[in-house]
Amino acid sequence: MKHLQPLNRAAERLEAKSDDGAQVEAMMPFPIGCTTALDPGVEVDAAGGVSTLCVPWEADLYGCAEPCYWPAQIPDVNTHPDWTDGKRSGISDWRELEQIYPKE
Amino acid sequence: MAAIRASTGVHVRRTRRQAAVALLGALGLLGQLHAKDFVVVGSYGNSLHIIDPDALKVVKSIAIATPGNAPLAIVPSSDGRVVYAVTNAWSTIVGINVDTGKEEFRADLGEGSIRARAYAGLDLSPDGKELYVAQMRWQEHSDRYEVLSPGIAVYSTDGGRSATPTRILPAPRRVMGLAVSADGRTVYANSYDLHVIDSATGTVRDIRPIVNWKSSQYGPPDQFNLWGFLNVGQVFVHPLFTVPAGQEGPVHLGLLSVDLRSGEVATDVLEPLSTPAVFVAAVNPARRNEVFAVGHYLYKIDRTAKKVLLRVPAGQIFYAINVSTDGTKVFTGGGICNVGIFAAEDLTRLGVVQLPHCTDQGFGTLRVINRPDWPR
Repeated sequence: MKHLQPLNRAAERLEAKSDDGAQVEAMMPFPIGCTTALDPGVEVDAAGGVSTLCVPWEADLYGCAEPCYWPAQIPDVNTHPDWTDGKRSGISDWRELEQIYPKE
Repeated sequence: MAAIRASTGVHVRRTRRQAAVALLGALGLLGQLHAKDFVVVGSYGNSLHIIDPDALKVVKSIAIATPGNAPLAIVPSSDGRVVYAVTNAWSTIVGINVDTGKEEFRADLGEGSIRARAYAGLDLSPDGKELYVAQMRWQEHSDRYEVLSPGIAVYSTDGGRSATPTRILPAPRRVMGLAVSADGRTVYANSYDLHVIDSATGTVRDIRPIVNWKSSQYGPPDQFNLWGFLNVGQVFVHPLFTVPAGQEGPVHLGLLSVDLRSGEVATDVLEPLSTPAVFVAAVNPARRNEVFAVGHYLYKIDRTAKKVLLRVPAGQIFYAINVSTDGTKVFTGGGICNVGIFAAEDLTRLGVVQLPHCTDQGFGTLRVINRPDWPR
């Protein structure tokens, strides 16, 4: 963690200590929450290569949508429950998955 | 004469067999002759699939009527007739009768303005009468969300389709794995550390350190704690990863094991990890010192000797594993649409079963049921 620097306001708030001593409660199974899962492994693995990525890569597509593992790359299905509707096979249907955009 | 005798002998043998079948059928024991293992997995389309690992085919698929993407944690009743599953965006537990495909148990988590979600922590009491569910809880006010303490909700399995908890035990935050002891008196909740909880009162009897282990040799371990525990052979195991104290590598593979009969808890470091990480593990119910673990590679481990015996490429990544009741086969699942079957002896791949329409299993678990009759 000492090598990480916040790049946006959310990260700055997470890093800043609360003046009133209030604690941040985490709801997700992950240590700090959905948006702070910083484990590489979608495009490249921790070593900067591809040898330890999921094989096939599509195994991580729906597998990681469920627990919100890479929220920047893969929409979590609790926030976007319709994302996989009618597209039950990652290997066959990945081309039909749509991108998610912020609501205006 | 020999031909007549032979013919007579065959006739007699057939008659005796027919008589035996009739007698056993009259005694209701005929089904016992056909008791065998079936593999149960969930998939997108919110379905459960029953697989015959000997015939290498899916024998039944059941669409869960309650909405959802794919079942997460699943746990079967001991008679293999009801499968309990987390579904509906983690907010509902259903019990599906695999013979009828009907929902005969349902618990919508939370009550009133209190919301709750379950993920991987799900287990049945040994007598099958109670279902334990690890929950994250919060309260919705008109202007804000209030985070509540987590809990382990306990349901009576005869609660029907509007089941409510009979009690809620306090739980630490971030409980992923949940397992009930063989005598039903203890619930083990796996968080950063392992909490040993009285199943009746919720009193925490002990906290066995995992992340907070004191070791001069190794740094704090990581469980990659994304999956629930598998209570197989009344032992549950989970991979651990650590590095030598004060160093950044090499990563070592370890094992957390909890004997649900004796209560013995062990955290062992095995060897430097020479392959990509393994994610889940299961004990061989026929030989409780044998552990199988899987990720990209399938491992066979002797947990008593603290030694990796074998490792083979699994052919793809798997997120789920289990073992046949006779200890001869290892089943792998999760991820995409394949369920692998391997020989426990030497990890030879015996076959792969593809789910209908190659539907993804995602992060779901894989269970084994042993039934005296075929699913209908």
